[in-house]
Amino acid sequence: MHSKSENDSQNLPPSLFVDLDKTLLEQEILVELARSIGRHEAMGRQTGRAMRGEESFLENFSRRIRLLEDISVETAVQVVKGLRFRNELLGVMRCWPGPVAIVTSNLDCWVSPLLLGLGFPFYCSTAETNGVGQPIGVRTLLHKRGIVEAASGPTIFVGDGANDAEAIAASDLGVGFWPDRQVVSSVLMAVQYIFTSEERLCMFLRQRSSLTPPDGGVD
Amino acid sequence: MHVSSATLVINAAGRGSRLGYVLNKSLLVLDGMTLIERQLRSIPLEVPIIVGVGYQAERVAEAAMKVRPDLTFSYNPDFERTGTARTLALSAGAASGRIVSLDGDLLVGSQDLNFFLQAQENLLGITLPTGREPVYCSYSVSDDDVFVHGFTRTHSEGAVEWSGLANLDAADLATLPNEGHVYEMLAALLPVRAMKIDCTEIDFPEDVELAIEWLRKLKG
Repeated sequence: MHSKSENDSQNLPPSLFVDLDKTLLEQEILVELARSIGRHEAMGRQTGRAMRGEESFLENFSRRIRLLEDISVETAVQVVKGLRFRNELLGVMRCWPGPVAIVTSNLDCWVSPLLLGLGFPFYCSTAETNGVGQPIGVRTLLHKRGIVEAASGPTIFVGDGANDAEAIAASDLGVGFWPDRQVVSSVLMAVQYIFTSEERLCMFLRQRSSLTPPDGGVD
Repeated sequence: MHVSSATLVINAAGRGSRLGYVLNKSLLVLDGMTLIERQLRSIPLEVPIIVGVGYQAERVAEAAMKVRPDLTFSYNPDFERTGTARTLALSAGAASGRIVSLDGDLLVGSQDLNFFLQAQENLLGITLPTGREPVYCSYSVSDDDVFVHGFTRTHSEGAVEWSGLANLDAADLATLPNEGHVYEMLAALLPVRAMKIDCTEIDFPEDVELAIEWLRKLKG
């Protein structure tokens, strides 16, 4: 059920909201942090359960944070700064005619070093930290749907996991992105479209925004 | 001159209740392969594909993604109360330029399918009537070209059947009524050129045997 009408503020360019892990980033931040201490397999399993919505996101997220308790703040910053963005999607966001924001359930202490230099507003969860700044839990969990509902004018949300499903359903145009081709039922039931290729996703977004592709041609 | 291929749209959202199975027809195994897999494997890799899903969407998407890495899906949440036309219209919203609409229960010979993918004008696939409850086309012939003028459930001498394959302009589909079947949606575009195609469609239980026989003939 899409809660906003496409007739709402039709002349405004839509706000584009993009999830971070595995959507704008090629990797999952928590899995890559866990890789640096050899716990990536356990983290990958837990992350898969969260993505598919098999248990409470907050409970699962808290458990995943505890898996990373041995990582120093400096190491964490180094790891997240080495993550790869999806450049074509980033290019579409940079040329987007309306408001753009990154919306992630991930913690401020991990996403801020990555996103502060990017130039887009971002919304994230906040961490409960110990005396040396290491995250030990979730202080506030971001509810992505609220970000979409607070936007004025039409909205597009692009995401991949179960924790994106409500925001996708609340947006005027809900878009799923499954580069790993993992079916997530709650996302499938909420979207209008799902893409498995970044190129096709970007073609679609350009078409929706009347953006010209980077080479100036017509796609 | 290079002519870019159309986007192929597979309409696979329906329940397919006439077949009497609990499965989405796209998951029906024919001669060792599901229908959706067989359709996807017959399409050149460079052709963009959109699969319209609804009933058992998760299973259809899983089956499709095992075959092709670059698929797009459109989801029709109203698949229970809308027809194929709605699914096609939703899918067309993710495409630009020309699209080829292929019903999820239709298998088409690769030569004909490729011809449709390269066509640059509206084109309908027609066939000799074979199954139960066919939709017939009224048509005229001019300089060896066949033009469809209407669709009807009434049989007449020399009748041909609407196949479920069409090359169309994605932009046109956004403006057409989409409550019913694809052929009802296309009525507003008529007359449209048509071409006889080699195909088999699975609507009723007896069509399964006919489809397997059609596949065996293809293998030679």
